[in-house]
Amino acid sequence: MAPPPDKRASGSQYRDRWSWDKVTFGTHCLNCLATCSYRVYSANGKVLFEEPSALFEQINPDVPDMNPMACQKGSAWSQQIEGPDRLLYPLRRAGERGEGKWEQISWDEALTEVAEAVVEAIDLEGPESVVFEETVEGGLLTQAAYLRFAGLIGAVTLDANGLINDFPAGHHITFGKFSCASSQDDTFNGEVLLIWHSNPAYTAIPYAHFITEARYNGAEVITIAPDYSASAVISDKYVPIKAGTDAAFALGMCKVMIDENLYHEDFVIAQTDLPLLVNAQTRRFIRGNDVDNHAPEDQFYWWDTKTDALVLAPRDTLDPGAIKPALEGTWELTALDGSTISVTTVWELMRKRLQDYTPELASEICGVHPDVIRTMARTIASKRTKILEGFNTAKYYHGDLMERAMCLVLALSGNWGRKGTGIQGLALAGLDGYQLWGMKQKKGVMETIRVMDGIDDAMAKLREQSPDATDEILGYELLQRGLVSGTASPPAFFHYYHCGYEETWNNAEWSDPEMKRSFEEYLDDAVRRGWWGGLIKPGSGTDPSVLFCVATNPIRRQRGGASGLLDTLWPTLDKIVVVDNRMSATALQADIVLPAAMQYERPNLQYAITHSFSLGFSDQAVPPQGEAKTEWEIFSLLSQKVEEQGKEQDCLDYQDGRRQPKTLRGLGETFTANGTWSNEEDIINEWLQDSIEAGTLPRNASLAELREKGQIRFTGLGMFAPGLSLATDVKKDEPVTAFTWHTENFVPFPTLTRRAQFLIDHPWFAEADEDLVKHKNPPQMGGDYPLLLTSGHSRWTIHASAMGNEVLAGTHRAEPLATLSQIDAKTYGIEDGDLIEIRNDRGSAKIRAKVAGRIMPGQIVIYNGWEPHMFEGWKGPNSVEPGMVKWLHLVSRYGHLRYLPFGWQPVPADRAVYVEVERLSS
Amino acid sequence: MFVYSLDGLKIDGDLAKDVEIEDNEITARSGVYQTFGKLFIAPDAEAHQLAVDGKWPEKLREAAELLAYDFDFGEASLDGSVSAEDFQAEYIRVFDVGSGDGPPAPIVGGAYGGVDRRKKMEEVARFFEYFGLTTTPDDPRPPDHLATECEFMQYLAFKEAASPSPRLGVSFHRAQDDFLERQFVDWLQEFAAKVEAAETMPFWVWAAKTAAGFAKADMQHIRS
Ligand code: SF4
Repeated sequence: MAPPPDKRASGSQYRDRWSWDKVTFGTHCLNCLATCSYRVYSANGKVLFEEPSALFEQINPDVPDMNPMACQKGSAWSQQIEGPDRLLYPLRRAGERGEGKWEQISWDEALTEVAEAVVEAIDLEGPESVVFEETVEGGLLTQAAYLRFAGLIGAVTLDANGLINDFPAGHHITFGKFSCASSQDDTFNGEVLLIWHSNPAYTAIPYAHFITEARYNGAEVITIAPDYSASAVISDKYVPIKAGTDAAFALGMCKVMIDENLYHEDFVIAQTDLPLLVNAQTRRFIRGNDVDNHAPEDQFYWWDTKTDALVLAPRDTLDPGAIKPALEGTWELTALDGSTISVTTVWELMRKRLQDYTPELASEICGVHPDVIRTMARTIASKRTKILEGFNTAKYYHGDLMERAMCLVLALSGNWGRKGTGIQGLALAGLDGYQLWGMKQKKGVMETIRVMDGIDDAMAKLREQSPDATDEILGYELLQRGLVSGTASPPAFFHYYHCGYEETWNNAEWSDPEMKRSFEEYLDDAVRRGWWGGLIKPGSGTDPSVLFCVATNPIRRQRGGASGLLDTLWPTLDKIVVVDNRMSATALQADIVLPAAMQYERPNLQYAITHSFSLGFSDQAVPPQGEAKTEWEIFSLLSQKVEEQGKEQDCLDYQDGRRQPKTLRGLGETFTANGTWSNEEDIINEWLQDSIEAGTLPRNASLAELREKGQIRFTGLGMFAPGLSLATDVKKDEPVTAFTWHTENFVPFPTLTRRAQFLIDHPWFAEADEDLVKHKNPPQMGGDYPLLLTSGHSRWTIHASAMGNEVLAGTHRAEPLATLSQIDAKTYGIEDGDLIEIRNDRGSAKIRAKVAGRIMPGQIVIYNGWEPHMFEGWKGPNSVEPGMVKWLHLVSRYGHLRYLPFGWQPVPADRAVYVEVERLSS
Repeated sequence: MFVYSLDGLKIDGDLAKDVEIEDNEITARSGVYQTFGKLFIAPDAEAHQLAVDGKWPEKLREAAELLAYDFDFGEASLDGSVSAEDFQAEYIRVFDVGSGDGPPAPIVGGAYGGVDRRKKMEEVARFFEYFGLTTTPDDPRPPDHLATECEFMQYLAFKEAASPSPRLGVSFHRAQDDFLERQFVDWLQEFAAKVEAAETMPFWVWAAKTAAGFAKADMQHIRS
């Protein structure tokens, strides 16, 4: 019989658990992109626990502070350091790919083998045959390491947003940029908060308190969603809407605002293209070259009601000044060729379009009662309204239409560029030092200023060509010029040409029925016209040979399922290299797996975004587990090995994809700039100093300061276009409110018309009847089946990153679940916990059912993040998602519709797939 | 969230090369720091002679001739009976080693303000490196030594004056402000007080107080 427990001993054990010898700051650098600041307590090289530091300063006594900035994933992060799926040493596949047989090898062996493959690929196919999946996971030091390596050898990096489709195309179509998110504390300033296509109670936990605080402050919170989500619970109103019909709902509200004369006329006239003149027959803008021999093609016009004459819509300001542009009317113009053109305004076209969306007609589509549509339109038109949107719309085939319709709601109600308004998504900001570093050849301020002066010179030259362009517009222009020489490539082309998507994307039944040609014909047309010239990588004639997945997990995430990768791409690859801290599904299918250090095991910075408008820092609390190394060290060592292999294989000098000379000579030294950037601290320090130079961090910013406070608030938007997109002055005692430059200073938008643009008069958009926004049902992706499968982030993990976290696993059912309504469950004879099969013409997956009253009949929800190996036959929900790409996003070289890293590009859709279900067993 | 590639952008020029300049108020500030740097390096025979001759204040005034503000460097000379060896020994006693329980007025910034000296040195060295100076392990003086910091201020002010790019000039100007505020002015005040309390030669009391006073006045000037 065991002796009774010694109470004193267990007491001291308990106390010992809470004794530490070191406290550092940590954040988690995950896809949550939050910058929560934790205190990490460790002893004897082991992390004991973490807790939110809650040290964010209150910047304004009338606005709640950011604290505590935390979530349960972060609070259990330390459990993962020694988690069951943690990678501890380099592994080489010992059996067939995916068979699960591994051998432990040394770093030297692993890196030599990878280097051999890289050099062979360069030698035989060229450097573009080495392909990296970009990621936003892992933090900036992770990204910096592989991007630097890829850039030096001339490899390809597949644009992360083309992979994860967090790109709200409708924002870009409307504003010429997608980053229009204010800082999260601006939510508190809203009078009406629309939680629309998002579920912040699950997915934005650190910031959800602003919603509740705004309610205390008198705001009305309305959740618009098909399911009664966790966010609906904290709302004043819940508007149940049929999945994928949000555009109809929004346009119904727009119709009410116009019919009841609730719209903000001055705002509409100044901020949007709605008063611009169009040819009444063709619905094309009247351009300079229609009416004036000397005017440029991108000159647009108004009709001035004061003079009753055609006037130029200025390109350098949104301010109409003394002009009173007409919204309504038709007029006749004499074109340059002498013909008479009947002209009207975009506003008139829009009004006509909205005739299809009376509240009654919209209600028939979206299922929301017409009275609710009316009431909400009236409320929004009279109150400061903010849409809290995530990246869900971006994952719908017609998400761009939903987003354009949401933007129209905001335009008519005058709801951007003021406190508590706008549309919340994501905006990049702040750490200019990171951007500058990418261009620096050596350390220090002289090199920084040399680069900054060089950028200024280049901007000045661009300004000579476009004197009326804003800094933001010129910044984008400059970025465009650098693109072709960079490594970034929109991945849709890679997927189409190399990953077997041809058949799927050309399936007309799964596409928009309004497509007049096959996807392939549009694609060929776009390529032939050179719209994506220099960006389709690997270029024709180059087969991918080596795939690097650094902190990314395509086998789990790939839209359209892993089969395209495993069946088509994988057999063509000589080497698949995974650098990760845990044995992900992709690692299980790799040839070489390299163990990476996790957060708390190395210094790192979180991505700079506007959510908290602070730079998040994670320090090294403990050494990396096992033999794990930081990505910086891994790619530094790999650079040396590649150089060695280049010598051995007599392949030191070669040409990149643009036929520019490249060399592997001195690669190891070049990677670290001759030892200048030999470790993370040196790099962070340089980024901080350079950000101070660029004015985006306060002058006291330093590693020491980060180690004292855990984070530092940014002070400016910086000198690069993505930061400037926020278009606002940063004040030290105010939340960041996007777009005030547009509304207060009348700074133009970076669109073709220099205004928020609701008419896209591109022939492809016109052909699709999407030149003006409208509702379209989600195409019949997957086939003709009764249930619509949707998704979203779960509460328990950010993607799959916390799947192996045992503490978190104890807080949910810890196995994949499909949630369906009680009514559908009854129809299909399914009970809670039953094993069911979901299937369509694309594929099938077996999964447990969760039956819930909160789901709308006709819908089935599988939250994202489950690893494929958690399903029978590795078939998870992406087995039934075709991952269709909307063909209109192949359009380029139309004003602002052109590729930008992380921005405009064709992205796959993975939400709103049609399936049927069948009960298999209990 | 990505690193720009501006490979296509040709950026010429090397800002490490200074432009030729006439002496002006900024080079004057640089000159004053240079003189203080020489004053606080472990004194050799020449320094001793200058001290005996009462030339150090004069040298400072000469350097400060074009200074844009008034500063009184005072007068100081060393008693002629103090030999060069004693002068040096006193420097070592007061600033470097003391007589058993450490120097009464350490001449390194990391000894003041209750900070972790190693971290302080790291921070200072990083600052030097970013602005173009490196410290080497074989340098006998640590980066937070008063003479080294004076030389750094001399360098920063000169670079401001001789900058080929206005933006770089602004950077060096700002760097001086930051360095004075974060690394220099505060500890110098403490240092001067300790020297005064160290029962040392009046010459060193003058030197420490004058350097501390100048640094403070200079910071005010820079900010104005
Ligand atoms: S996982 Fe993300 S949201 Fe959660 S605490 Fe960490 S940084 Fe914050």
